[in-house]
Amino acid sequence: MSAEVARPREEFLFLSQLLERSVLAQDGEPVGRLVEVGCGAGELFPKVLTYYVRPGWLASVTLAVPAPGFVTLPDTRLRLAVPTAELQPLARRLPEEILLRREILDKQIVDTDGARVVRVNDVHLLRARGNEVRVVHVDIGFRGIVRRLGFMGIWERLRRLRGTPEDTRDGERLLSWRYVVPLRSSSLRHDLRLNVTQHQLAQLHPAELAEIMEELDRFEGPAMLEALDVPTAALTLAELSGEAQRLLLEALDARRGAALLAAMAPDEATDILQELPEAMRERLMAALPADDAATVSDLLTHEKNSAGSAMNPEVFSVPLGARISEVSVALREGAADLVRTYAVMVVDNEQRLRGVVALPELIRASTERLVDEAMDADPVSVRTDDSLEDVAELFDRFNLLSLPVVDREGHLEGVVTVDDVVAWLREGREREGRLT
Amino acid sequence: MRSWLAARWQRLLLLAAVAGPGIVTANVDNDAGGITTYSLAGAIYGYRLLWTAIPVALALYVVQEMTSRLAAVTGKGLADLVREEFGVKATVYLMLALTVTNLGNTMAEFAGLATALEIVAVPRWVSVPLGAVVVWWLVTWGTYRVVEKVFLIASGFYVAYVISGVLAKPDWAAVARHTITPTFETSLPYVLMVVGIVGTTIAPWMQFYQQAAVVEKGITSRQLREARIDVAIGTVMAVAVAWFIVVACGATLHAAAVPIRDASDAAQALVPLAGRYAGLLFGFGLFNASLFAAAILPLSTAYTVCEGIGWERGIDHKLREAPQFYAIYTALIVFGATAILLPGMPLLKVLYLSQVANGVLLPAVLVFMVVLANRKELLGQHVNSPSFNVIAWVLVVSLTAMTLFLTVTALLGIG
Repeated sequence: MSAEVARPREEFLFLSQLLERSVLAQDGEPVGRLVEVGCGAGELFPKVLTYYVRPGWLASVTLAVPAPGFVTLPDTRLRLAVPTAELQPLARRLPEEILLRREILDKQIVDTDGARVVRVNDVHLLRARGNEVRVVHVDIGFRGIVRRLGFMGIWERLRRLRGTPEDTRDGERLLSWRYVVPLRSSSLRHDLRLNVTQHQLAQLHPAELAEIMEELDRFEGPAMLEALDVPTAALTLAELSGEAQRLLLEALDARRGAALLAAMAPDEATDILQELPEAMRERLMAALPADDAATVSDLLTHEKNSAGSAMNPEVFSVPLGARISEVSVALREGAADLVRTYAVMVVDNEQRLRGVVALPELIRASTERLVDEAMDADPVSVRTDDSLEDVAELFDRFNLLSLPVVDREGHLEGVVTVDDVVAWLREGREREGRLT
Repeated sequence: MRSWLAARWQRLLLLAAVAGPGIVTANVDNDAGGITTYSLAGAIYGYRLLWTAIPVALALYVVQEMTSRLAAVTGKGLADLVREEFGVKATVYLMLALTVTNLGNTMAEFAGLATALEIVAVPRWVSVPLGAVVVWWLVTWGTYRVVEKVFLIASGFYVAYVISGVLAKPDWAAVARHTITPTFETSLPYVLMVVGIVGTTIAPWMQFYQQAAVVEKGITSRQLREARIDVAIGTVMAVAVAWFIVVACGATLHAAAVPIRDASDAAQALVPLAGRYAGLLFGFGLFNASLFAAAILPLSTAYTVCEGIGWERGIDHKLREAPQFYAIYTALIVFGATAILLPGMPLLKVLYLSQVANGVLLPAVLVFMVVLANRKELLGQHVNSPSFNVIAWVLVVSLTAMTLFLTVTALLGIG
């Protein structure tokens, strides 16, 4: 008669319950202890592929046990399902394998659901039929810490004393593996395998990515930026603080850095370049495409904190005498890189600013009329050398979304938009600095 | 010639950019507990403990250099590294010990504040709560960066000890002899004092603080040279100040056989310089040192603990986002300040024994640091050199031995 105990078909277990368990051969002889669990990387809930067993405390070799590996899981003593002779000393791990202890347990990961960086206290596994084990959650709650410290009994007793109902599990926070982006950190291990999970990151807003990026260290941040596509990476970079931008651009090579700057609005690229040390700025400028470099160096000539330094020189403008219908068509076709066009600038044939049509006006005006009739012929505007302080005041006083910038002769030079002003104001407040 | 000058100049600029963490840490190092411990050492033992300066300086340099190197190469905080490399159990117990020790240190800072202001007749039930509120407000409402500069400049006060030490006309031959020839006594108070001196000079919390500061400054392994110079300058500053405090106290308090009953008695050491204003000068220095450290210590502790456990941290987070961080931070200030207000609280004992606690915890922190600093997969070519390992292990072993000695003698009631 076999002493087989009826087991539930599926069962949850934690990585910490498996690690350091002793491993027995088929005949019951001790083989060693379980030191590492490796899982696949591509799937939604990846299968555990390999168990790693160390024969003795001082042994330098590790034996690889391919899944399913053990007769029963979880058990206090893990009995091997294959003969000991078949175990291979570990040569190299599978290329797309994630080592759960080395790379996940106690490490920081990106939680793409909450758009933040969290620390993993435990890994939650699901044993399905046939001893197939999959990674389903990571445990990021305090309960995970209590369990690993071995204080679960006391914790539960305290809970009962407080009269907490049996079925609630305080402090338990499990995060689905689908939202986990592992960060391979530290200087010598920066082969981040983000490409596998890149699509998860792509679902985040650049502002959220920037927030995550601020929490990553010097190696994780650049690696994550590398993993993003150029437009997303550029938007993310633009959202970061000056200090973080400098560190990231320092870590990236000049070509990649320049590509990101070229993908930004010129005024944002200029803002970033302005804050950089001179040597770095020159290196990046040299790597920029010629026309972008020209626009940027134009902007760089403007005084810091002047309207000219904050404006975007790429303006959507139309000539006097254009029809509303023509303007609408032009807007529709050119809108892609003019994200923050809140108003249409009207210029004469010498590029002098003659009026402004706000977008709502444009929508309301009948399509047959000329812009000359729909426009505000006496728009608020500033000169390139006006200070941003004055600009901010105008935005406040006239409730503006955008403001044209002209030179001494009234030629249209660019547009300052509300986001530029908000960014400048916040920077001013943060410049005073805090401790951490 | 021109290019040589230019190259020199560039090197200087680079140093200025990297300088900071080591020098700031060295100055925070001479906090209320530090001033008290060195004063007691000079007052009780005269010049007999001056020999500790050289080995302690060597050890301080080695420890601080390891911290900077770990930070520059890995870009991670110390608690972060302990958690990732040694797991959750080691981290939780280390953090618990650190929190308890640092609560003692926070108490010491408030004790220093109370002592300093009692010199100008401000009672402690006014100065301590006020100090707690000021510290809390400074840090959470974010003018800290500005204030840090004020603190640093005010740290120039330590020059007073240098001048006073010289003016007191110590027997320089005896000073020199005691500095280079170690003497050791196996009595409980003597060993307690040695552990206190090491603990206050190489405080465990400073390693966490410095590592965070280096990471925050974005110093990388390419700037290790400059970071080392920064650490060396800081070390020399910290130990020189300590050495002069001992000399000044030895030449005045010990020579006159004045017993130190409370910390303000230590002001006597400044009489050669300041005459009857010695008390005021001492009070000013102690006030600055206490407030400076009280601003950094609870914050650094909360930050370290949250980093190790994985809670949101940093004062750029809102209270709602980082409740544990603010809870630990506030609790340290509140408990630290309240404890000082308990009737009959012996300020001098708090100031002194908290530094001994530092010395007791230090070996534990050091063991983690040394193991980390020897991991090739973390530091690559920047792992510890054999001589560093020898110095670090000697420090660990001797501190552990002295702690054991203290425990045994205290338990047996000898000494």
